Amino acid sequence: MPGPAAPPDLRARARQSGSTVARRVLDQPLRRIGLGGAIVLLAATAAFGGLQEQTQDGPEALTVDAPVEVAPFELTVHRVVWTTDLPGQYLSEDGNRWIGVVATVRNTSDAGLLGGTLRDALTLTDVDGLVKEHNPIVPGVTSTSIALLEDGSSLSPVQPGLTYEAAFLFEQDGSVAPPTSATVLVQRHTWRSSSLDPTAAWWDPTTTLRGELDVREAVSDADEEVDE
Amino acid sequence: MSTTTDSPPTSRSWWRRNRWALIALPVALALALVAAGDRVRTLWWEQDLRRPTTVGAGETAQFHQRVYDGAGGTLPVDVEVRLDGVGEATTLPEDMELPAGTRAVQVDLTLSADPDVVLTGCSLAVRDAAGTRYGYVASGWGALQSATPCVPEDAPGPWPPLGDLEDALSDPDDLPRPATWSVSPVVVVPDGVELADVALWWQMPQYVLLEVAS
Amino acid sequence: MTVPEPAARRPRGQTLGAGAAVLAALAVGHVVVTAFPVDERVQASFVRPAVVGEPVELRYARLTAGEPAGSTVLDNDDGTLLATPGVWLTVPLTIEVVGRPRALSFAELLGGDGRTYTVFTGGRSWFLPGTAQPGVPRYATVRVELPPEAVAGAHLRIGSEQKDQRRDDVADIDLGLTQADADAWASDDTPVVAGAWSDEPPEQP
Repeated sequence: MPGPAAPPDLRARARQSGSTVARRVLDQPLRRIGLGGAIVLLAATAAFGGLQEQTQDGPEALTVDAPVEVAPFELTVHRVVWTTDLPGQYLSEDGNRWIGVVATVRNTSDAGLLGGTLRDALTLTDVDGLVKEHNPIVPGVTSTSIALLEDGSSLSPVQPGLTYEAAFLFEQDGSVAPPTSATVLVQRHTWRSSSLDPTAAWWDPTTTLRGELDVREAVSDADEEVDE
Repeated sequence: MSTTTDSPPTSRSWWRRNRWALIALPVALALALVAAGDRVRTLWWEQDLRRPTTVGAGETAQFHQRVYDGAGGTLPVDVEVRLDGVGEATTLPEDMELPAGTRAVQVDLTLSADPDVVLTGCSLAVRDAAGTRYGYVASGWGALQSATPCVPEDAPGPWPPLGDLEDALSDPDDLPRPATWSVSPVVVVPDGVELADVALWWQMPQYVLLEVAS
Repeated sequence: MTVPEPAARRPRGQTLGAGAAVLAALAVGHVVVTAFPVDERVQASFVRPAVVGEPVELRYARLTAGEPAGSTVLDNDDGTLLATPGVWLTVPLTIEVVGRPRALSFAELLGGDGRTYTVFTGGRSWFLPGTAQPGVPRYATVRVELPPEAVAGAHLRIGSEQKDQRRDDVADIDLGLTQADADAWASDDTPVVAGAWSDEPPEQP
């Protein structure tokens, strides 16, 4: 018989008991008993939700101008534009350009949040030549800065109860052609305490929406897009 | 009920049986408290000035300490310090503007050390009789004084080792520090404060306490 | 059916009793830890209430808040003007630190609507008084943006450590603001000025 077997005295008792089932089971190599036991255990989990259908298969489609709830924010993506000149923002190299995702941002939690959490909530992917390196914790590439359209300042802290019009800015290498489309990823966070720190915070950015949006050149005289 | 003159045999023998454990118990408790209190040392004791090397007015203090160099090793600090005087600053540092209700106090120190001892990272403060500490601020009130108040500005001597950057950043033409030198940093204190001593330190909790002549 | 006698070991009763004692100890421990939630009270900050214009004594400083001001535009006194979808609120503070040079770094606004408005050490809503010398008053301003409905009944909290205010003094200053203040500021676009810290008292208008 291949593999180790059950202890001989146990098998002797099984034979003596007269039960065919017990004798047959204990005559198998241990490996099979172990495997059989594991299969029985897994099958038993079916009674406790093991076979329930996963509710979330993957990110939903992101639609332009539709507000989405991605805790702790409510974001409404309006458009994606690119430009080579933004007053108040400094490119790392001449010739590079800014790709801006213009969005309405609202903090739906009860407390103000720092810009880092907002930065992880909206990221860009499927665009060549983005200067910032991909951070493995967050899907996609995060923005270099998030600028308030009205005065160009960096949006941090994000206070609750206010509706901000902002642009998530991503720097792209000038040697690559300007993109005609880009995929915007929107992440939600989870409010929990971490293993090191008992105080709760917003962790685990998880993509819940993705959308492939057209990218066009920013029109400089439109006062809704880029301001002084 | 029968009365006996001596205590029941089982009770005496329990004490007897456990006597070594009972003797060791307070010792073990004390050790447990000390071991659990290690954070008291690192998070409280070492975060303030606790261990002075004290000298009276006009005397020279011999100060020895091993400080962490920030790269996992230690550096020796061996220096002699003498307080020559503390008084109203005769000339204010350039561009210094004193707020109302304050005055500038000049601390005259003479130090001596081997030229290869690293002394650049020092902090200075003057204290009053209540122990309130008034810190030396290099960049404050409009003025820019030396960031290394314990060493001469033009010949500060060696800096803590920078590891791999050492060769790229160190200047072979740096003047060696003299064996003995004097410095006069200026500290801004509120009016009406009577100074009791000067504190000088490279790494807490050890420091040099130089009493001010009263 | 006869079964060979197992080798001599502890009586069943004792093993079960020991097991039950372990489970009972775990259960009691769970009850003790969860039934009395004192963690928050043990670690709570010591809140020192105050009003505008009156000094509040903290372990590490004496604070006095001046009259709050506000508008829809903030002048940072460094050449930049900041707009806001809500209103700007500025509160001047006089800080006298105690004992040794200290830098206060915690500020927070509890809005009248129950929400917490974050004040950081940089960015749009910030408070940076720098390291103050004992006995030399430091003048610094808190600036925070908030919706107009949060202004009435707002409290300003000031503390020592940015990240951790447990077990230490925190000043809770009732700013004495009303809805009338909020309405006045929401319709005002004259910039309210809030500059960097200084040891010179602010000029009286």
